[in-house]
Amino acid sequence: MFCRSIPYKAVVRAAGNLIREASFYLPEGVRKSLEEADPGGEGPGREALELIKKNIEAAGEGKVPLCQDTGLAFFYVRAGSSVVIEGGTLEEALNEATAAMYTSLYLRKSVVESPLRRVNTGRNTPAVIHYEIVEGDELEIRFMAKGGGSENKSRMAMLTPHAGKEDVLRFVLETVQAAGPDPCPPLFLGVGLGGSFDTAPWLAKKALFRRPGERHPDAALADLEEEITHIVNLKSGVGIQGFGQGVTVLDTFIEEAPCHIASFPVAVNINCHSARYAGVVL
Amino acid sequence: MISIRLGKDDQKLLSLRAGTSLALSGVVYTARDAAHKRLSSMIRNGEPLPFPLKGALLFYAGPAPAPPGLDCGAIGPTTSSRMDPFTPLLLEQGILGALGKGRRSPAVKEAFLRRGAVYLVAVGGAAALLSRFVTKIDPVAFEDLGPEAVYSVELNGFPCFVGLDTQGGDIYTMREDTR
Repeated sequence: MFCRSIPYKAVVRAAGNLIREASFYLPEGVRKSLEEADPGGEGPGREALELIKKNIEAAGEGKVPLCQDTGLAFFYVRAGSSVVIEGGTLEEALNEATAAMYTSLYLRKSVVESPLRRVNTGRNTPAVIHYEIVEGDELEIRFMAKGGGSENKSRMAMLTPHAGKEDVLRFVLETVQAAGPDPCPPLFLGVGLGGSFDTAPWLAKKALFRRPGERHPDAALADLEEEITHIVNLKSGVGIQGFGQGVTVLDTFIEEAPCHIASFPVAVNINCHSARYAGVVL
Repeated sequence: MISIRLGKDDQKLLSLRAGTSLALSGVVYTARDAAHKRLSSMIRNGEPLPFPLKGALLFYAGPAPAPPGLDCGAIGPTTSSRMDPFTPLLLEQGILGALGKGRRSPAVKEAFLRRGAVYLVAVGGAAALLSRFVTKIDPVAFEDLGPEAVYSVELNGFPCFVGLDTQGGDIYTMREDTR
């Protein structure tokens, strides 16, 4: 059987580059969303949006990252089944890149070794890694730096099988309202529909790797994405930084999966305005 | 935008209404989750505190390390509501107020009002820009906590807003109140 081997060091280098790119430079689509965002009337919301935009330029000089919460390091890996990493494991490579870059780039180390003991690991590791084994000989690595504030306000629920679109909308709206200013709006929303107790939140996180404006291929879900964005902006009252004016949600992304006849899991993973991610195919 | 120098313009700061935008100068002390827990336990045990709380402005922040050649690394507010359980005790010690982001619980709002203290809010996710308004940062206590240690931070024109004023105004409900 044919195998393609990728050197361990090449993976470390590629993952490190993604961490640098995401921590200092917002993706084009995210920048554009903020440029075009509705600032609302005069007041703190408008002033805050101006500071957020100036911050993109400040971080773009490549010395000081976009946010002091440089996040947990999330990796979403799609590994071709014929790819072999030569000289170490993929997991080791991604953690090595994380520890090295969070140190050399002066990013904040925000990981404690245990929720109860709370001793900082000093390396920002372990990273959170999701793998998908796919056909082929390519290795796709996507990285996201995501802060604690927006993770803290994310939620999941078990709706009933009879639930409809309106119930999903209501749950998302309630989640955004309960979060209020804390996750740093304007927000990006990842919504996971279906799956199970363990997979719905991952679907929501995976959705957040999509680019602003990148709609779900299923037309009904694409419509629901736009409807959620519209309704939350209309009804939540949250606004920029929670000041009650201007845009609340910049975009919504849905991922779905089959689920049990008894269940309708739904998860909302909130991302802040500083949506930091980058990807590469090796 | 109103310029405030801590230590000199404190009375003026306490007279400003929620929603007012400020350029804040002077020394503040960072303290977030772990530091709040330690400070509270020291207060309860009657231990000497690592810095005077009376008149201090606490900044709910955990900065990133400063890169070489810069005065300060990325710095910005964290979610204030996580400090709510500790805040009334710290207010009793006479802090001037706090700087963070997000809503406070009704009990904490009440405690701010009763103590005549001010709650300021800064923009979250603007830390590269905000670091430019810091001229000096030094560790003061709990260095083992890394980013959660207490640092003294000298601000120079740091942009922020009055969140809770001394008359009960709240930046997060202003829009509803005026409707």
